[in-house]
Amino acid sequence: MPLMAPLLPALLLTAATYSEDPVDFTRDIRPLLADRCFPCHGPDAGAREAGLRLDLRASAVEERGGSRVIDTRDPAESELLVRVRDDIDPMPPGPEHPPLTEAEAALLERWIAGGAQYDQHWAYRPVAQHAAPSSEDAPRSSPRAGWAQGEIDRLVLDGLAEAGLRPAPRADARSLARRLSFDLLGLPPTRAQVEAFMEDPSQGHLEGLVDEFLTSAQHAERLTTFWFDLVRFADTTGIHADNRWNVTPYRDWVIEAFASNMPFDQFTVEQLAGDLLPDAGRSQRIAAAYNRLNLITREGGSQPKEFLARYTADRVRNVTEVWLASTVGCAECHDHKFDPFSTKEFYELGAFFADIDQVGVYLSGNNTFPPEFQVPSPQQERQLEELSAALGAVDEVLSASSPALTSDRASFEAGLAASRWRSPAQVEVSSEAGRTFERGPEGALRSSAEGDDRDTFTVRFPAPDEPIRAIRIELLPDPDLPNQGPGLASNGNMVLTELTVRVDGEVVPIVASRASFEQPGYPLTKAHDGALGRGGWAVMRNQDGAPSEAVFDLERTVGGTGAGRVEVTLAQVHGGRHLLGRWRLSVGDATDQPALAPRLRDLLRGAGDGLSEADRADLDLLHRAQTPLLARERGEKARLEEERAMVQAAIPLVMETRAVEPMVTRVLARGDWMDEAGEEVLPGVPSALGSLTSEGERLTRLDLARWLVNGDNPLVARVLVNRVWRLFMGRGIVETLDDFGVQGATPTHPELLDHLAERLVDSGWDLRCLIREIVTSSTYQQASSTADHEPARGRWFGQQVRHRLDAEFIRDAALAASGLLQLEVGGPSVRPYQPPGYWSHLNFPRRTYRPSEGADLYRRALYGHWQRQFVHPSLAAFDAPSRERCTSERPRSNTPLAALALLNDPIFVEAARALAQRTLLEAGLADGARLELLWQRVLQRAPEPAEAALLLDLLQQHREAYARAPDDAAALIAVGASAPDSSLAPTELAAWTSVARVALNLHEAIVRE
Amino acid sequence: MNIPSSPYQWPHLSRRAFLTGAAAGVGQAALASLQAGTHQAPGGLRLQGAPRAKRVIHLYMAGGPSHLETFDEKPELSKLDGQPMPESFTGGQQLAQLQGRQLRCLAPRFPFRAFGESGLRICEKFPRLGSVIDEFCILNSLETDQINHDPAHTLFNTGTTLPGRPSMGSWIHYGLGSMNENLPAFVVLSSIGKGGQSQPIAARQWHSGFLPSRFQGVELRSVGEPVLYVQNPAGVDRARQGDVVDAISRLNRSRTGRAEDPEAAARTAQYELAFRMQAAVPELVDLSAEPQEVLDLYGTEGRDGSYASNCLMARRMAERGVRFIQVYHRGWDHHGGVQRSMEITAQEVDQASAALVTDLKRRGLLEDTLILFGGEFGRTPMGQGDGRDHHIRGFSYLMAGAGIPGGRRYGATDPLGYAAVEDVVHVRDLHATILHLLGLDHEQLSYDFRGLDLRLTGVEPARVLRDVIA
Repeated sequence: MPLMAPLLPALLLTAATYSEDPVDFTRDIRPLLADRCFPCHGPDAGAREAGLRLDLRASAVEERGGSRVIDTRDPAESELLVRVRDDIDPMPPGPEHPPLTEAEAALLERWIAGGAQYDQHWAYRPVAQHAAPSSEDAPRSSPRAGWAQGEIDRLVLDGLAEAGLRPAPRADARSLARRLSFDLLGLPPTRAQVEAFMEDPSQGHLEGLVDEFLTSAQHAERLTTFWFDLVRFADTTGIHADNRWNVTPYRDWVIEAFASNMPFDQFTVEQLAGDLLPDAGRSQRIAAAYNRLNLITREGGSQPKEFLARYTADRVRNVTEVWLASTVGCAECHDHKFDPFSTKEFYELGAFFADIDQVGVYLSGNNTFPPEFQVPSPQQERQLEELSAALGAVDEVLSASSPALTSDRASFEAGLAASRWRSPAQVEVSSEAGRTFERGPEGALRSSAEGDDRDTFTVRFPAPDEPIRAIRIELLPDPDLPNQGPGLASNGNMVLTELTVRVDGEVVPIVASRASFEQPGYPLTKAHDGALGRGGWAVMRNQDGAPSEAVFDLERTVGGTGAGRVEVTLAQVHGGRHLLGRWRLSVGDATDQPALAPRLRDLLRGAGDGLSEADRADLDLLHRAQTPLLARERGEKARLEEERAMVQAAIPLVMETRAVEPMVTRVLARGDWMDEAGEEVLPGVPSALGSLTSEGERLTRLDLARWLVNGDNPLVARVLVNRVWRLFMGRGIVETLDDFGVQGATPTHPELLDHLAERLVDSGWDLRCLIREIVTSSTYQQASSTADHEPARGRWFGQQVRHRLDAEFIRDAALAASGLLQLEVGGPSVRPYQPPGYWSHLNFPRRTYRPSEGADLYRRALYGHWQRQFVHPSLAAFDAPSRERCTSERPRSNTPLAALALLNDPIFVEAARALAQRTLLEAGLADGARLELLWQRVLQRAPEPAEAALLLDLLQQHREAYARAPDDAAALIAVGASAPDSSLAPTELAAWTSVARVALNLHEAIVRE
Repeated sequence: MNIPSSPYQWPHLSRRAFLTGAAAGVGQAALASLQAGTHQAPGGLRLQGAPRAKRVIHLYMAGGPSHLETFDEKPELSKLDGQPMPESFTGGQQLAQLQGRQLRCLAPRFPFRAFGESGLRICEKFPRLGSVIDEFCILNSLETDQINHDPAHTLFNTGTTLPGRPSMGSWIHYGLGSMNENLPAFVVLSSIGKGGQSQPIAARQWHSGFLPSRFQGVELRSVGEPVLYVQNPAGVDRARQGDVVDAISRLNRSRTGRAEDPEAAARTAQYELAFRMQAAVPELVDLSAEPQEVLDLYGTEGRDGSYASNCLMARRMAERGVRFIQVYHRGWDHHGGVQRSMEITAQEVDQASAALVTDLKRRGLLEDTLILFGGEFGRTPMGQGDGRDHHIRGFSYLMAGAGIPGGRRYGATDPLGYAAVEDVVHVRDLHATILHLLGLDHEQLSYDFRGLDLRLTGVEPARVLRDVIA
């Protein structure tokens, strides 16, 4: 049974149906067979009936029990015709499948009578074979001599002449300048550009303007938007919690690739397999992030195997849609119904991606999807270099010798030998989280493990008779602690967030401190900076369980009089059970006592004789770490290290494509991931599209990428030029941009398609050259019209089209007119204004949207954070896709929600106010001149008299209205983050804001003509 | 065949709405068949006699309610409480978080009792639903293919897990068009419960996929603006906004008068519709005219974002001609503490769901409104601690209105509530039935996308549940 009730496609009623034109298999027959017959008699072995394949001539013409399905000697007796003409039980069977019309049957009969020639589907034929130059002797190009400027125009003209049409006149200069600017930059032209072009609308001038546009960064950004819809670029994972991931360096890479006009073959190879290139640098590794753009999940309970299968399928679908415009994805569960792709071939394509280092369910942190790597900006690299140099200089001072240091060292050692620490008596210890403490020898304490991850310990004791000037905390190893301690964390670490000393409830400040060891980034000073939760002292190091100690000097002497109660609190709120495990608190009677590894102290007590070279080196380091002579340099070093840590933390990450041992790829029966019985497959390409083999070696993504762009692949160049053509002409030469299979459209201009494809490959995949050829052609420069009243004109490219701008460019254009637009290129995603609560459906974690600040609010929409599940509502209202899958063609809807967005989204209101403000400040005082300037900024033309009258009337009404309601005027001009100019009267600015809102909302303002 | 011979006979459709087309007006597919001048254009839309329902209210219990603590009584499971789940039930099946763990039966947490004249037995934690149970058909034999929330929601709404496919509200809007000129035809509301985890819901669930975007669902929000950007900018009152819209319209017309650009005319119409929506939406959400008795019936104080408030809003939309109303309640993911969570969540939805049925009935709207109540999947008879894991082999759904005979039960799971074994209903069967009640044939409602005629029910055979709706 065929699976679907097909519509009667209008395209079947081609010329050959009714005339005696020769029957063309590709144009006339294959679509008919594909639509009506292939579902049961086509490539899908699983659905095939009666062992008959009508997609293969050999099967169709072979003798079966005395008759032939296709009998070229006696066409009318062909079983095919007998069955489709059977009144009682016609093929295709069943009431849901309408019978063929007699015209269609007659067409089949004529085809069979002509020998039933099967051609290879046009899209799989080699390009060169098809590309014959346009005939020069034909007089049909004559009607408009000089119109054709090149091969594009000649081929279009041929098509028009055949249809009895002439090209449309050239568009007026203003429309053409706007068209070029919107098409190439996604931004309106400047008034100066338009006026200069109106002055001299020559071809030469146009080419100059085109070159200016093509070499701008804004052009690269415009093409990036085009590419991102295809490769489904977004800032989030797309499934379930839709978490943010690290991807923006890839955006910068794409922009840079377009800006430098990277050849498309290289562009392809680096994205699919940049990591596998023999000389892969950072740039190629960033490009390969393409392979990580598939939707991924973190949902608990998901089965990794299932999701790994999904990720593979997602990648196969994307690569075949983007580069091959083929619906290979249909073959995931069954052989393709119409096109020559088997299920096995689907999984063979999947096997190319089996080497990607990934997991099925990402249970890592919210926003980490390893592997990832850092991509510092040039500025960050410079900062790191500078910091590293400065640290080197400080280290030099810190390690240099001097007489003063030598003599200080002697007193340091003497002090060490003499230093005295005591354990206080009658100590009570408590824990906020209810931990208990086991007492060991010499006042050592062992904290119990159970309890909250965060805790605060308090040690209380009566002030002893001997004076106290310092507190010491020793951290001790313990074989029972994780990693031998000294902390309770799983790696044996601890973080002392804050130590506070009180006597009778009054805080005694700590004036100095030193430690025998500090973990980089966790200096001891953080443990007495008065701030909870801003870091602390930690001691993680390579050597497990090494003891450490910290000494805190008090501002004044405590005790000595025998009165008072001392309380030392040890806050440890880092989390992850980073708590003191085995430790000891002691008190000392002098400040400036060194902190020392206990072992060295014992050695020094023994008069220093037992000190080895290594011990002396340790002592030297300790001295340098603690002597007041180097205090300034040590402070400097800590500051520099902190700064370096901040720079490091700000460096963008990008998900990495890293090749590992490939996982096994099997054919999954009906896509079922639990089925382990399927055949194991190796990487391979669909045989209908060519072949790719290697001597014994497993094929890689690099092989796949190179095969796509080696110039022999019949699809890749055709698919790309068709996409680019559509970008500038409004419809593809093949109208189904994403389906070059037999169910897709056939090219209206096959020679043109092949001419462009061939040129692209011959030029070394020079995309800019292709674009230039298209937009400088006379075909491109025709006047536009709505295609409705003369559809043939559209089909034969005998006019340009009008269409609404894409979502991003509507926003960009409004910001450009208002002067708010920031043209900074690249960098992390920014966050425009967004209605509060728009993300309330997201969870794990719940998210609160915080818009960017300052200039970042006015960046091009391309840089806006792209949340797959909740695309920015203003962009979504104008059909921005979710980017969950390849989008070849966005719809261009026309809805009330879009009207509401353009009317009321604060960014458009702010843009209107900024536009009004800029106009008032620059255009003098006359209303007429102001209106003209405002109109020029948005539409690059002056208002017509009737328009001006209407607008000045609105202006006057709103002046009066806002004069009566000054609070409303103030509220309107305060919309947005940028401040209104205080030199302008609020009521006047508000009234002009109304006029500017009208301008930005006009149909003409958001349409490319 | 109940097809109007002229589009102007289409219910609720004025000549002007037809001419301006687009968001208001007749369904795109219906229009195509009308223009073709035939009732049965090959592959075109074919309405099946008089539609039984004009609109759908889908009470979407998101997170996966346990069928064992709602509508599927399993005394056998109680007897096996704490015992290992017999292997014969679970061998080789996909589980979610319980994959690879030891499986033990968890007895239903609450008793069931008989309600209504029909004596249908449901969990005693739903007494209000019980009081109107004679309006409902209880389907006990649902099954789905997807065991995690996000894919399961996507399947339930679009018939597949592939992104980019239209949701059923979009299909229905596409097939039947709108019944009003000032409000969207497909509206989504949602509330968050206090029991269980509130799993995220993606906008994909009400997306129009490859259908034109105007068929997309519009979210009616309970915080901030009820519809995104429906409020005028600060300092702009309705009169001033009207001046601006009027100027835009007149300027668009003055330019298009020469260019004869239908897109520009359509844009002008959309601005006018947007302006009308700016009045209609605040009127819709303004509950001040609702009598106290009605607020009490639903158990809400007003527009507070609660499920109760959303149910009341659904009734108001039904009255105003909204075609497909989807009311999500995100509170049914009871992995742990199913007893306590169920008590909380049942209480959140019981009264208002029953109130909606009662209220629609007394207003004469129930007969042509289809009400659906259920989640994306059920939960395991095996315990996950004291909760239950996701479960796709058997769960329950409720249908009411649209002339469906109530007080009945359809289908059954096995004695432990594991697998649907009798009159099994796949999600696509439910889709086919919903479309059928609206007068749409699920095999005819299709759209040509990338060379394929795609439809909500997909390629597998789907059946209309004639025994349920007869």
